[in-house]
Amino acid sequence: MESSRRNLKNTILCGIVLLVLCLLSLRLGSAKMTWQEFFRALSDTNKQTPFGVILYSVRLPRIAGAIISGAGLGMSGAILQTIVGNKMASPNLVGVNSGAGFAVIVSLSLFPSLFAFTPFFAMVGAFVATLFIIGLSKKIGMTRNTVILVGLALSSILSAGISLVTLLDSDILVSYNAFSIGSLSSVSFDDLYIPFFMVVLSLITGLIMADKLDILTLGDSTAHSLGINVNRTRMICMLVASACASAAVSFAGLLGFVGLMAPHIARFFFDERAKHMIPSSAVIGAVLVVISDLMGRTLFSPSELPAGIFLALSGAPFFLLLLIAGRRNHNA
Amino acid sequence: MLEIKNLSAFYGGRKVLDNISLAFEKGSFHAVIGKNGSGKSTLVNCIAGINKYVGSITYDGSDVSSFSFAERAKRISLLSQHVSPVPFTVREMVSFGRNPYGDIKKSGGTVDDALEMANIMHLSDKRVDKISGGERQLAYFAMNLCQDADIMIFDEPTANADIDFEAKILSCAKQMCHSGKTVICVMHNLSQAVKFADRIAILDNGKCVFFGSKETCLEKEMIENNFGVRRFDSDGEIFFSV
Repeated sequence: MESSRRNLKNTILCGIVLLVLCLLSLRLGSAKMTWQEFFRALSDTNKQTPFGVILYSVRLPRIAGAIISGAGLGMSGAILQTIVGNKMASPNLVGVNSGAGFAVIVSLSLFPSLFAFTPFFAMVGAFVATLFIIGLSKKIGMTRNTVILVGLALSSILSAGISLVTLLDSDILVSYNAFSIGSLSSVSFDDLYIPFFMVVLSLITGLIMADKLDILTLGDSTAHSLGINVNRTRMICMLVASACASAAVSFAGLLGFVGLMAPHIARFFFDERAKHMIPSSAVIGAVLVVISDLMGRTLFSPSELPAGIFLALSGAPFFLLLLIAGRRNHNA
Repeated sequence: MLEIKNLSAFYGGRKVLDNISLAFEKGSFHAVIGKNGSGKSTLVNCIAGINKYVGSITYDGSDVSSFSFAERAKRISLLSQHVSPVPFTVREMVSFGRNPYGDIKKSGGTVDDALEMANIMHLSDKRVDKISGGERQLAYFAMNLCQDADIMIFDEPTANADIDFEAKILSCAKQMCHSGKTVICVMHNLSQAVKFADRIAILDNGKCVFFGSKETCLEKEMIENNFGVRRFDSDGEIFFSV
């Protein structure tokens, strides 16, 4: 009962934080506006005024993109950390980053005229990488360790492939860098329909699978004896994790650390049942990306730093804090 | 009745179970004992459907490999020797025992019964990863009780338990037999096997070298040949020594 109250209280708190951040993100930016101008612009849904255009055509899509990408990556991290039983797991474990990155750089190099299709290539690349990991893991034996090792191996190979392509075709480096850092600067609503659908579908599927995910943490033998088809459950969950993460990277690029940090932060505020961890990691992931995008737009205004850089800068100290906290727990 | 006929199992190219045939009767406590590496855990993992095998395992005449995952779990439960310290409360974890029946969320009364039987109601709101190893073993045991399968398999259930917990688990398992359950328990402790089991199977190098009553199992030659220890009796108690 105490746990339920805590979960509810923190859910409301996270919701309020996200709402406040969204309002701040709408209000703040390189185009300065007073509060009066802001509320007037809010009512200008037909984009008749310059501030109306800024709010509805520039800032709102960015905020929506930040929420969808953060939610997708946060959920993906939460699911993956459960199915491989390793709290260091992140979407790159299923080849999302490396698969998307490799597909994007190959498409930029071979089909530069199809630049507008970069999001499509990114999504397909991420998904194909996941399918490869699943296929190979099934042949070897779909245990936690197999998935981790195959994922790491494929990521290494694809990363090497990315380096090779940039070496052979250095002209595409600038275009690829924008993708690899991760940014929401050119997001429009048209980019978000399919990712939104994928993230929502992943959330629903994740919640349906939540009890099975919890039982998987008991160990493969115990899960099997409780009636869980361990291999199939793991495979479905990997696909769900890949779907929501690849949806995020398709338009936002390779935003780092969200998939790793969001579930860790969620554990401080929510109990670790999957039915709480998945949606809370989604909300916290959204908060992280919204904050990073807001900081990037406002701290050095009118210049802008991509959201990915802020996430990377906060990711390293986060790791160190985890290390220190883990050591303190060990010594206690 | 659970019947095993001509069961063999392999790890890599190595045969770890060799043509084993056994019949486990309803309402009886069966101990499976043997030296390390004799195939005890492999045997129970085959019954639980975790390991692949050659041969047949039937339950009341039906081949268990034809059961769906949920059907098998309703009939056969397994308490593994490795229990994970998971970040859920004991009550939450015990409720997972209802997964085969699809009623985890509505399992309140059954969970309470299981917690009472295992004598861990006082731990119900504690996290599994914050309790002792012995208490954790009891929590997993309670989950098995909640699963309410016809055949309950315990793979060294007292491995992490002290004497007090050991006695609780085995006494409770014995009680389940009186309720008509079939208990198959992998054990190392011959004294405990003698105390609780109705029938004992002895495995050696993947073969079943004995399956029968504990009285026959306790014959001095049987003990010396299969365990390399000697039996001696004192004041009505049976002891073993090297």
